[in-house]
Amino acid sequence: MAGSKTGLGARHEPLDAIAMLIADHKKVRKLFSEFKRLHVEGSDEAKSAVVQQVCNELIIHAEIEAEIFYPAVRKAIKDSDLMDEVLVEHAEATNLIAQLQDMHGEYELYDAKVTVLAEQIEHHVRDEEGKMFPLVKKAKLDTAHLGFQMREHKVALMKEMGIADSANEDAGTRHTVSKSSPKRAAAAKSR
Amino acid sequence: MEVTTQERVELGVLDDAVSLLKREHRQIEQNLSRCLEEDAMPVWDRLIKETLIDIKVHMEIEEEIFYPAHLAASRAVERHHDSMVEHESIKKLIADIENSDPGDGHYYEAMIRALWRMLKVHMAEEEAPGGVLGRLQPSALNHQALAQQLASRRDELKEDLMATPQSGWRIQFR
Repeated sequence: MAGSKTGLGARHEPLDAIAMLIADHKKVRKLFSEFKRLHVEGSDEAKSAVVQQVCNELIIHAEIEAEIFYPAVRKAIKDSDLMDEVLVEHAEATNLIAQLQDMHGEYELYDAKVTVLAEQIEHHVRDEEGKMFPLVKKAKLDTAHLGFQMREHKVALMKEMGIADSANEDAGTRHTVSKSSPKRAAAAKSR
Repeated sequence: MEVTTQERVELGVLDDAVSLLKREHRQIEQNLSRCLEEDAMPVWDRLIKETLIDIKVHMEIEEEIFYPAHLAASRAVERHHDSMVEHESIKKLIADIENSDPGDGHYYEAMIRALWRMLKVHMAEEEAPGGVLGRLQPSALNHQALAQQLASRRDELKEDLMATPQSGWRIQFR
């Protein structure tokens, strides 16, 4: 299974900002399809574990985008509509993520919430990869430097959330999440 | 997702509750796209308020009347739950819109566009062949009776909401 490939790993991320975000998207898509499989045949515990992982990924991803990537992009490209749109998408996803973190796999609407979150994220990813990233490339932003900043921030966030950097660990060792961390992260997001 | 006139005629003949709800979809689409037109800004307040009321009432009658009836007849639990969660997301976004100031300009408009997009996805799912408003309706549904219930509850809710425009979701739905 996916320990090493889908675990949150920052140390060996690609350094370029766009490559890093695309790698995150891939990871999240993979986790969502893992959930889809579990939706049919998995236990509530297995589902919750995958969802917890997706939520952590998304929280960190959204944070580095909102704090570092988006402000730089907004300055560089001339499409403020697009930038507002992705921010609204973040707000909507954050709401679902917060709900999922307070819920367990046996809750009646749990799977439906994950499905809807997956759809929202898919749309968001398409907006970014299809519209925003091409504009960023054209604008000749220093994505290497941005990527460096984003990685630093990611490592710090993971530490703050109590998530081990599992990029190099063997398959099977899932990252550990300290019990209070998702709430803290959610609180940090909503400030 | 565009429904042809032919389809509408057919559906109107086949099932009234479904065509009633689909007609509301078209109305909501029309109003929302009107909100996003360039020259709509001066009448935004009224236009958006009315559109949001229509959307809220539409979701409410679906949840109160149509979804439970459809679920009982079809036993399509997953579809039902997906629809309910999508409604939740839409309601959350509507609440965000109602709590913001149209003077915020760009971000406000982005929220309206996001709502438009969410609704389009949701309506397309509902109207797809296997969706709750799709062609494959469970035979046990009494569409005529449902349509009547939907219409009278809609009028009731709309009257309440129009009379107390400030109350938003905090209105007493039963």
